[in-house]
Amino acid sequence: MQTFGILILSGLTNGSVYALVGLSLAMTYGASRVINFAQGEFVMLGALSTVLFVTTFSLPMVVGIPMVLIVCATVGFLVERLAYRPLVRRGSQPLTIMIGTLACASIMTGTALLIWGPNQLFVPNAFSLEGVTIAGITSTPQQLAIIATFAFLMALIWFMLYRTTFGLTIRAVGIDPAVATLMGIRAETIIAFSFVFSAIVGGLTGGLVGPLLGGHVSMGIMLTIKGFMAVILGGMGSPFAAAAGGIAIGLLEATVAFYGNSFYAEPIIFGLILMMLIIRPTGLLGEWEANRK
Amino acid sequence: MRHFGKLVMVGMAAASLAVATGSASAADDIVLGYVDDLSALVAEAGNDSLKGVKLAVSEANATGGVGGKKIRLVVYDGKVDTQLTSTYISRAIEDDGAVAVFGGNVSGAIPSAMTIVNEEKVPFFSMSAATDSFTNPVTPYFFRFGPSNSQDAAAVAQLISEAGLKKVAIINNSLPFGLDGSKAITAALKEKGVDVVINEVYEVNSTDVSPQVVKVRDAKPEAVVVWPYPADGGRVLRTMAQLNLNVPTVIARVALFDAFRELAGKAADGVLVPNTVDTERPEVKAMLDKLTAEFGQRPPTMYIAMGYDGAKAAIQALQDSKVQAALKSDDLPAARVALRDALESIGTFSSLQGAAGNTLKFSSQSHQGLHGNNIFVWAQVQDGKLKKADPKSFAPKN
Amino acid sequence: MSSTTLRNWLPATVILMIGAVLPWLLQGNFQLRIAMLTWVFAIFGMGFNLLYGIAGQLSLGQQAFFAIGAYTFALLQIHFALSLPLALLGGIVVCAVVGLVIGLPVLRLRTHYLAMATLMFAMIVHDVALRWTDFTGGTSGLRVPPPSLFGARLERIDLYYLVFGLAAAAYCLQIFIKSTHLGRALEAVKTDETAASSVGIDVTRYKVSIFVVAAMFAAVAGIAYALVSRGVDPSYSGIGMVVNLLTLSVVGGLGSRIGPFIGAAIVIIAPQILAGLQEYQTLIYGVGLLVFMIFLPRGIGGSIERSAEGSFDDPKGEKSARRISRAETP
Repeated sequence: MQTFGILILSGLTNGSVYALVGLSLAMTYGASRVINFAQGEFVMLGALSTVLFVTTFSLPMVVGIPMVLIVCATVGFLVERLAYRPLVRRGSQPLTIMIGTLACASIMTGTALLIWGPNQLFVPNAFSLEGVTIAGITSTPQQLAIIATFAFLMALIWFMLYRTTFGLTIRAVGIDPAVATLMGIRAETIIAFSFVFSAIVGGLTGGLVGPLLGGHVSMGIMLTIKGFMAVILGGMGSPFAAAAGGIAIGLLEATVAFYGNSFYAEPIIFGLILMMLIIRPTGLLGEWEANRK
Repeated sequence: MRHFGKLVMVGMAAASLAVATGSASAADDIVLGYVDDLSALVAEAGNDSLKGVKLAVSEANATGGVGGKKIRLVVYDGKVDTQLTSTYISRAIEDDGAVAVFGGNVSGAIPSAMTIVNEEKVPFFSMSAATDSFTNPVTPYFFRFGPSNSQDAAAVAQLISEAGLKKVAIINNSLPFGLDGSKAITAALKEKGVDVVINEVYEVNSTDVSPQVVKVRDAKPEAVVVWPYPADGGRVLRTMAQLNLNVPTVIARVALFDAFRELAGKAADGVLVPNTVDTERPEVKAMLDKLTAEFGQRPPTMYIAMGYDGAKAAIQALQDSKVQAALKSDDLPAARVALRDALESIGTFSSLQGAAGNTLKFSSQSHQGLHGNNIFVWAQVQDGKLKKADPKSFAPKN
Repeated sequence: MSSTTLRNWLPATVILMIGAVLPWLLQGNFQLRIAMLTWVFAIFGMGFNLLYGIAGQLSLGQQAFFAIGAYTFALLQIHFALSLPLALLGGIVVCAVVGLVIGLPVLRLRTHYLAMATLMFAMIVHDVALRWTDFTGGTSGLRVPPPSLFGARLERIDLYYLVFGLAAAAYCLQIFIKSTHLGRALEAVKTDETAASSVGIDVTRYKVSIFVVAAMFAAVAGIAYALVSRGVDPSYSGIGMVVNLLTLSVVGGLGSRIGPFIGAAIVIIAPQILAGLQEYQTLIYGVGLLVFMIFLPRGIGGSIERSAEGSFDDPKGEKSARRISRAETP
């Protein structure tokens, strides 16, 4: 029983990270129909700018983290304004836009390399890294904070999308930007918002997992791929589907590693996702999107 | 605007062509190439080795170079990209006229690099990439200055069997370093009659590795061997502490990096690390002090010592009369062959790696410089710092 | 000679001439290596171009076939001592079969789902290549025996012409496929699958055929790469490989005939030019790529062909891009 609890908690922790990357990918995709290859780089930026503000500038955490989020929001804004928008205006093909975001990833990595250098860095922790035992299961406050942040963001996004007028406009743009524009919605603003919002989520994720994963300039790409997996398993239709996909992968990883074979756990999970896609071609929860196409 | 854009592109293309073709080299220098990861996942090792090489080269140049010629280092960042690394090696050889090339902290990039240097007949000084098959069988131009996986593994196995421990668990990441390392250790432990009760693998980007650690704990090992990268190693040790898995622990050389010790915190206290650098040896100390003066503080990693050893060996081999004769007559291919021969007949070469008096030995039968039982000096983590360890301290805690 | 024929074969002649005389213009093995790598990646790009540029099927898993082709090529020579041409053929056949087996279920998926499914497949291949040490050699991979053809050992220059010959053959095959019924049917599939099937096009069959063809192109590229690097290792199926493939395809121009050649040359040569910038190179590479995409969204090949042919380039492709990727205020 205790073991089972540890597995669930571990799955939720890893899953929350994938879900956070996945839901930010889905937010951008929902508004812009672009898979943002630079999404994982925001996690990197979040982790490393925490090092900058908290370790290098010795700012307290409560000041440092908002600064990190401002940095990420700014970069997210720039990606939309300097890469996405010019590319769309020139009628680029979707793949070309994707390569545009890949170029952004390269720019971010390249800049981070100049600022932080190539070594793996310790990212200061906002919460304690010492173990706490609750009901026989040991975890750390930092780890629990990741899960809590994810849950909070889910609630926030739900509220924003379904309980505010602004959320209604986001969903309208997600369904058809041309019609939304006719309704007087500024589609471009919504798309810009989705980039900035995703960047903030990425930055927050980085600040939270940094103390556990360590900060490294090249950590982004693998996280982007984990986010892809979450989005694909859940479905690209909505941030909630993507988040569900992320959690599912986290739990799957923990279970396969524990009950199955940890040596082949990774290819097994890729295989399961591939099989799931073949059975349900638009993700577990993706019907909604498929019907729209 | 569109036309302007095109013009810019054409201009850029033309300018880049000009740059590509116009790489001149000063013929008066002796050129050494350095191609390794300087910016991606293995960059910390790559940069450390580079610093070691730079230090040895600047020492040689300060005393007038070799045979009146200065040594010039050309450096390329191959990242962890196999294709790029090979292409840069071939570029260092051809365009820059390198007499030898250094590199090799990225094991994935070695196989195709090896083909190139053997085909072009240029000595390659390989650093920490530990896969055994790189030097066994011997290929004509590939020399290794770091320990091989089986040497690492043998040392770990000896430590464990001497402590009288019979049941061992291995936990490693799924990068080539972790997979190859665990394979070698399993083999070495088997040879010593030690049982590997469980071998767990985790992915390097897992924020939580407790499923694997629980399995390790439940297998009730008497000792644990961890073969990670720096940050994930920290996570494994933290999780072990959290789950009360409190047995003697050995961790791979990556624990020499600061990031590991900072991430692991107190959980790393007491773990042993196989290092080849004995910080108590005066000549090692002197070298590290000089390195600190020139490049800033670095932990005493084996990567630095490998680079320094390799460059020192190259410089000594360059002084060989045949090499000098070939260099004087500007016969680069002959100089490379002569350099290789000189390296093979260098006999014993005093090394900064290993215990005091340890030597590197190359011959036509062996291109694995480190050998024997004196290679490793155990380091121990204590309060976030590294200190020289007594292997006898590797015993069950009560 | 009709204008279409001219359009197809003029670039072919130019490429053929450049390829044939290149060894005399280049100095040494480094430049020869760069040239060979360009041909290798051009073959790789041509396969992708058929699949995505023409048929509109986005695969992020071509590197799997690149690797499977190369591993098969190596294994057949090591274990069965097959000659080079037979091993080459074997690699292509194995990839075609794997392509068929994977393609049949996977091609039911559309757009990004197809992209991700193929990416998952490639990651399985990569992980297995890394882990199944006894079969694949693990990290260190496998060595390919020194290449020889009909008993004669191939020198560097022969190897160059072999790789170049493969690229030239791939180009002709690409042109041929585009000009056949298959090519036209695929264009229709790209524009609108439902409409295509309503006029009697067997959409699934065509999609699977082109997927298999692209897998075979990737196999040839992988084998050529194995010949150049004398071995094969897990990096063949790594993420870096597909990033290079996508970049070269877009930079060269999606759907462009000569695009893969230009794109491959740029992707291979750019890091060599940027090497002198040391730690600034990643940043500059990214900025260069972004500026390039913004000013030449059709890639170099696409832009050349467009200006040479007036109204060439499919407005349909553009429209569908708008539909998927969001346009600004109409």
